[in-house]
Amino acid sequence: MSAPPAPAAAGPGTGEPLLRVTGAVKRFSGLTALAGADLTLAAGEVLGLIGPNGSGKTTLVNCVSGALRIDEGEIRLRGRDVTRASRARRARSGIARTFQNLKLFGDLTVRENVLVGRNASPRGPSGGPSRDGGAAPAETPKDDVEGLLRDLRLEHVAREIVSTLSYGTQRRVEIARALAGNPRVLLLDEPAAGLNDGETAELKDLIHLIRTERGCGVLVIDHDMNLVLGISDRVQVLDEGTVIFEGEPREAFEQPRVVAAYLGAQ
Amino acid sequence: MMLRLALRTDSPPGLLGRLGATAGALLAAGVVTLLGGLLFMAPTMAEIVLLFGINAILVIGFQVFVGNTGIVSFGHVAFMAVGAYAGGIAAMPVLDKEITLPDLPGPLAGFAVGFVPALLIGGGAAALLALLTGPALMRLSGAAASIATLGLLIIVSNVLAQATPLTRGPQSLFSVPENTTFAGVYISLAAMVALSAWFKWSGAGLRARAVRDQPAAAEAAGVSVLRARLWAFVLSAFITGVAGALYAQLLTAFSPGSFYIPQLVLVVAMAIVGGIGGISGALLGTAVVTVLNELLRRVESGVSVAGVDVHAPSGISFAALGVALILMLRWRPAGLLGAAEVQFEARPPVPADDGPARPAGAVPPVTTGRSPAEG
Repeated sequence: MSAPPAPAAAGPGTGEPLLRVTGAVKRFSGLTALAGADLTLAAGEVLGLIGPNGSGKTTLVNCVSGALRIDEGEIRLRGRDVTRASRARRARSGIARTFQNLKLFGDLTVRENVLVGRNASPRGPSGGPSRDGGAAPAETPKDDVEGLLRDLRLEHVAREIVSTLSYGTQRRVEIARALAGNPRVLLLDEPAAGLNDGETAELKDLIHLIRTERGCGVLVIDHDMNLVLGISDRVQVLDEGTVIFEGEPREAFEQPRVVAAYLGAQ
Repeated sequence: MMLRLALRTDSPPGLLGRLGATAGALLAAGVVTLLGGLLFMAPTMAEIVLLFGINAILVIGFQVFVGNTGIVSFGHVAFMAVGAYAGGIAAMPVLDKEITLPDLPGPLAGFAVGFVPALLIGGGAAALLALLTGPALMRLSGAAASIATLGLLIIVSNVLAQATPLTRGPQSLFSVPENTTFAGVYISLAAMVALSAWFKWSGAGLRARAVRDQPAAAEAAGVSVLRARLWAFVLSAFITGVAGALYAQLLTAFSPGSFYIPQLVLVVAMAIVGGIGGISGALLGTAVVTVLNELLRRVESGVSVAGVDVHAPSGISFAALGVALILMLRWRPAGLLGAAEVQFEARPPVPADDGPARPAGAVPPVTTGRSPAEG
């Protein structure tokens, strides 16, 4: 693994990190899923978000992507407040995600799925002006999609209806769709779930490539500790909706609080 | 490079692909027109052939919305009614308006338009209604959305029955000029087929189909669920309204009751039999149901088969339609053609070693495993 950038490194051209969540609180009737969680993500950084089941990892991802609104706190993308922005709006300002349970457009082809993803890009189908300071090279949208299909080894199934493909291939389609919008922030919610060892190794390389070539900030949630600790520059451990550790991946499980959270011991 | 005809469910890549898919749909419409033209020669068949063409436009309008958004609409007959009244009143000569609609507001009473403007006025009025009601209706999904569209039909039907100065209320509106001709119907059909095929493969159509399959993921890709559905709703209302205006100028007399549940059942049955996802399926379903209906209606009025007089109880044609619908939903829920479209492909045949083996020119499975009920 290459040397990690300094935590909370500044995003391009601003004094702010790429993504900053401050004091996020989310309650579901009686249950407090997030109790003042903080999170920062820099461009070109891979952040691993780990924690026991029910610790609020997916809720935090849902709040960042806009699927849920936080009750208190603030979410800033490159310094801009997006706390109240709609899901579609956040997607267009550069937040892309994949889902824990695949959510593909089942009756559309692989290429069509990726084409829909291009909507999130301001220079996407409507050919609007390029996002200022964007890390990705300015390609024409069409090349973008064909290039992505090639990079993710989806070229040969581009015209297949996506629901007929194997699970591992569908995972790659979902990542291709998320990348098609040229996101700045990529949220991967359990990307290795259901993948075999070979596919997981491939995923590792892919995440590395996304970070280095596209300069995305990548947030990864997964239960596969080898994957998360192996690819992350930094990890955050969540427990009961608060961050109990933040720092080097290899140090995480040296912390008594982290071990206690996972094993339930005192 | 060779041109071949294929039956596929996926999007044709690029502009050429879109043109090929639109041309394929037009070819299907052309076949229907040719058959209709042959039957039209027989005087007893003339009205059936015209009604068939109008029903085909109706079903295409219905499928533009239902096929692309997955929401089953029970309200489309309302757009047909609005199209019929708007187009019919617009086409009515000024002198006739004074007699049939003496209380018509001045601006509407003082003019009469020709056949084509009347169609556009009918379609435009229906599209306007969709644009006004869509922002509320299109926020709903699934069964709630379907029931809300049924509400729209009930409201529109009641308003038409009460707006006596405009519509003569529950009584028949008559004196609409009989402008609808064979050419009028089938040129309109070709135009509406081209319009809906172009939409289906456009960016807006793709976004609507993405929202249909996974609304949450579509939003996460920057697609506005409401806007994606609204465009499909407005376009389908326009097409349905044009069919209404054609209908008005064919029958010349009609009442709000002409556009209610029986007409709705007919449209839904035609769409389900053909396959709700596609334009080719809409044409096929309309043809099958029309032929079935006509055959049974003849049996109802008595025919002689091999010297034996067969006399079926009246009402059998509608009952048979119900049976056909149940059999279809049980054995082939995606319809005869499913979401597959007739397309021209200007591509070299795919070599056998390229990708998952599907022999060049082979017909892919036409069903995708989704039942129309799932949308």
